[in-house]
Amino acid sequence: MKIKSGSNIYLMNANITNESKFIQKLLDRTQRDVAFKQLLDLYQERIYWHIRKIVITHDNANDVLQNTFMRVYKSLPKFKQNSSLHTWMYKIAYNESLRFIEQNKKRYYVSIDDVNNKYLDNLEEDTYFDASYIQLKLQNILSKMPEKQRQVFQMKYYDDLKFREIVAILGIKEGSLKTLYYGAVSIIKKSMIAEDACIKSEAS
Amino acid sequence: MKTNENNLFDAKLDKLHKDELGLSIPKDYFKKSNKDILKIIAADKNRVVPLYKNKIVWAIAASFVLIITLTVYKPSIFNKLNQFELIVSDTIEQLNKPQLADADKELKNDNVLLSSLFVADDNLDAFVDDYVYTEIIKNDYK
Repeated sequence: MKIKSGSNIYLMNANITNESKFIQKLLDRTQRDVAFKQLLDLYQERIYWHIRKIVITHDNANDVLQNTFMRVYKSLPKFKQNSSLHTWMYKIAYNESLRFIEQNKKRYYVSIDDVNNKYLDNLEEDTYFDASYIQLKLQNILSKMPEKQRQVFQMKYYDDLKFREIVAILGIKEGSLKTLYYGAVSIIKKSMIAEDACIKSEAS
Repeated sequence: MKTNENNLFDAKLDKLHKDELGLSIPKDYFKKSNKDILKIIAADKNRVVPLYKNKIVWAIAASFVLIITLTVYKPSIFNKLNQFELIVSDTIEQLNKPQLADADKELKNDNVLLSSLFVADDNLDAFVDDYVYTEIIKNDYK
């Protein structure tokens, strides 16, 4: 895992050519359904992964993904284009994920602090989580981070969102955001180096 | 339209989550999910909102029933609204009957007061002038 290099694959970010024209199609009632199918094709996977890292299990992510696109469809007439379509959809997905956690908190968690404690438990219960030792180690480190810091790190590193996009989604200042992100990177690096040293000493 | 570049991007996204976080998805999940989402949205669009859930419809229906009920079962209520003058003249007539007992007169006076609430001011003034003139001034100076 190369934290510093980030995920270069995201440089190939798939943009919808001429977004404003596409938005006009989405806002036009006669063309909305066709345009929405294209929107779904393009964004479904990345939105899914964004949600999955917040709600953790596949089944929950599936529910939230459906709710998200339902809300996107219903909210299209109200889309004021203050942000890009991309950021607007991520924000809806993020809010839907938090709404889901809030609704299920009573069922799954005793208190808000248990959200973090349950992070690994939920992962391990998920049929679609099959981690190697190092993956489990990374997940373990992430689980110990404050929720907000974990989300900032995941949005920046795995979703490859720009800082200004994360600011729009989370509604926190860019300075604080960068502090949280680089703090998370530092924690992961130190933990991984310590883990590596431990393995090497055991081997020798 | 999803391009090859988009497909490649999504494939690498899956790989990143699988390789680094150990997260996977069922086979052909996104194809199935795509259909499911479109199906849910289509179903929601075609969903009929039951009339009984509409408060406006309820209010209109209640008003309609009230009007019908009043018209059919209490038609006199509308006529009575136009009979204030008659009420006043009846009251005056009753008051002028000498055989009425004092208690009864008091009751009638109360009725006049109540009835006066529904009488135009001009009519009431005319009645009072007439009453004062007839009963007090004229009778006293006979």
